[in-house]
Amino acid sequence: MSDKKHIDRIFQEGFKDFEVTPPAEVWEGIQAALKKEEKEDRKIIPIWWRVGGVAALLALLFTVGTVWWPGDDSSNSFTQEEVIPADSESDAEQNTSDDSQKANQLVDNSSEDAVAGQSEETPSTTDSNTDAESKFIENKSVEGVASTNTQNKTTDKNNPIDKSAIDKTIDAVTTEAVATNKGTENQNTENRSSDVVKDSQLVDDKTATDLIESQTGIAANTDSSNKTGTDAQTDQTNPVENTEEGKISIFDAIKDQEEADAVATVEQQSQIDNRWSVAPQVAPVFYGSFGDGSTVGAEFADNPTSADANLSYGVQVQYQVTDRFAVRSGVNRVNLSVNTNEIEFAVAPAGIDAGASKFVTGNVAYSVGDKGTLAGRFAQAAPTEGLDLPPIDAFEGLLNQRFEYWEVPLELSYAVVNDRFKVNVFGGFSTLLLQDNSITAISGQRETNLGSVNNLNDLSFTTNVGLGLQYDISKRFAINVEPVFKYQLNPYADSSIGSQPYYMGVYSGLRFRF
Amino acid sequence: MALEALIDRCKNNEAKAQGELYELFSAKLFSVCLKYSRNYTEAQDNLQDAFITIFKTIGQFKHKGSFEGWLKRVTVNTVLQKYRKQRVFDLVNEGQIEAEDVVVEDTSVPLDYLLKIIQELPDRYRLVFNLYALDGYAHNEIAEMLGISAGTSKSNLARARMILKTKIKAHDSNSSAEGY
Repeated sequence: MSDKKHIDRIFQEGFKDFEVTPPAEVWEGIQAALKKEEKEDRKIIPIWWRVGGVAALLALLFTVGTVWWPGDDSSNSFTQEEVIPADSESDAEQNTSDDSQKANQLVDNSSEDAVAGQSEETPSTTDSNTDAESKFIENKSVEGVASTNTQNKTTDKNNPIDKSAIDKTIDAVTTEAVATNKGTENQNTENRSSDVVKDSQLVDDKTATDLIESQTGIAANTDSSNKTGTDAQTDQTNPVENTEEGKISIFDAIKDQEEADAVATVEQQSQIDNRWSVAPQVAPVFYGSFGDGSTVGAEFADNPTSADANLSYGVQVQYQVTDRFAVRSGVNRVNLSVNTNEIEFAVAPAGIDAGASKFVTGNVAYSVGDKGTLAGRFAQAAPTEGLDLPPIDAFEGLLNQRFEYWEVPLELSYAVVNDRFKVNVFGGFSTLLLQDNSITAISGQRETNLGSVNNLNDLSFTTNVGLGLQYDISKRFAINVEPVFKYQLNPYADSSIGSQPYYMGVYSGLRFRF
Repeated sequence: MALEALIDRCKNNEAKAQGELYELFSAKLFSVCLKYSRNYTEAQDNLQDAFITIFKTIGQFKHKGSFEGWLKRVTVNTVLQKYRKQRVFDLVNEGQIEAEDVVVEDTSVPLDYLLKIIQELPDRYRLVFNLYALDGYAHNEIAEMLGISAGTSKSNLARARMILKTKIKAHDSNSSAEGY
């Protein structure tokens, strides 16, 4: 009773088998916390990625849709910069005649009417009209005028301008031009609301240029989309200018400009001519995944994975709906490969189910497990405790899994920059048909084919988003480089696999239009 | 092996497997929490937090070493982290004393009394005593875990032992006074 004992010992002995069942509310608290956690962790990011491609597609549709949808004509709004060449101002100063002043007022009135529906552009429109009254100016705000809903009004007012000017200049040619407006062929396929204006001035241009010998190379300037605005402006100022020196340069400049347009916009022309194009393409593709987990099976969820670069090749077919907007499809062969690291594998001892992943090829069964676990598993699975197992020949290494798919994409593409050098954004989805899959255990130089896994869906889908760069070599040929991100929606039939794979590729190819 | 399969299922966030794991280990880990905490309610909170951490980080367990050991470590760390947040380690301000062997009469002291006096120790004394005397950590490990010096750890241990000894003696004299 009076034995002295170290105080630590008393506690150590006392607590040796100390166990207390916690109250039930602890488990309830844990469950509640885990559920909350799961919701926050799992949903937000993956869903974003899943719908990423579709969202991009919708965003494209909404932005692009407003451009080419019939009746909603605001295609010019994409090129809002205002270009006023320096020499045009000096031209403007030359025009001080009464005629031009009268015309100014009319032009101003009409433009103000039109501008009423476009308050944002009021300042620039007014400015440009002031300059433009007496000469050509291509400025985009005038395009804005041309493309507003008040187009008809503008047109109506243009006609009186012509007439009043005609009265003074007695320009029979112009009269004729007005009279033949309706019969004139409309060459502009996209800007319908400005047809009337355009028709009239096309005639004006032609008749005027016929009458007047060309000279003076006034800065030809301008990008192709200015055309309409320039034309419209010219229409308003024609009568005035017929009485002036400056008028010559206007028509001349327009002619020059049209020629320049024809050259500079080869690609625009050709798109209308050649709506179809095919592009054989090839891409290095990189496989990756969000979320935990090996693609091989749930057992290897915590093993690090790595991916090799692989190859995808195929043919893309594209149909140009408008000059900026295209639908595309095609067929690609996609090879993907992913490694699950830190495993070991061994020939499984006969008759022992070690619980590890087992692959049977031919007469040999292989067991694969996390690195360092196989020996223990075999020992535990041994039929008799203490029975000596033959030494296990386990190889440490990695599992390489390969997939081969046929891919059929369906994507919408929109040209953000639409010149000889194009920048497209595109989005859509792909259908993947599983062709083949194989799994190989690799340890140093030793590669052992383990067969295939059956946890893959034969049919799966990806959502795609990408950026396309294209350079036109000629009217028919172009070079493409397109980085694309593809998120796989349902690659695995086995829901226990947490891996949410994606692949990225940089597709390059040669596009041929026909 | 059943436990390994259970762990793997927990890694996949299977709710049923998590329930089974809790059934298996909650009593053992609750005892750890009781020893490291100030009282029953706090121990309950700590156990809950420990299991949440366990299920969140079970993917990091690589089947190397004992799973139970890993669970215990996670639990102890959860408790320590909580105290670290509360900055209780700073509160004890004392001169260091020499560690000495503290011996008491080998009488049978009821377990719930032992637990009670451990819980009544100042926070840091309790943690150091638990870590050193009951869970076998060395002073330099404890120093690192608690963010104190090894000397302070030794000193805290000595003070904890003294307090415990006094209380055990008090218990003994009470008992004998009552005629046991």
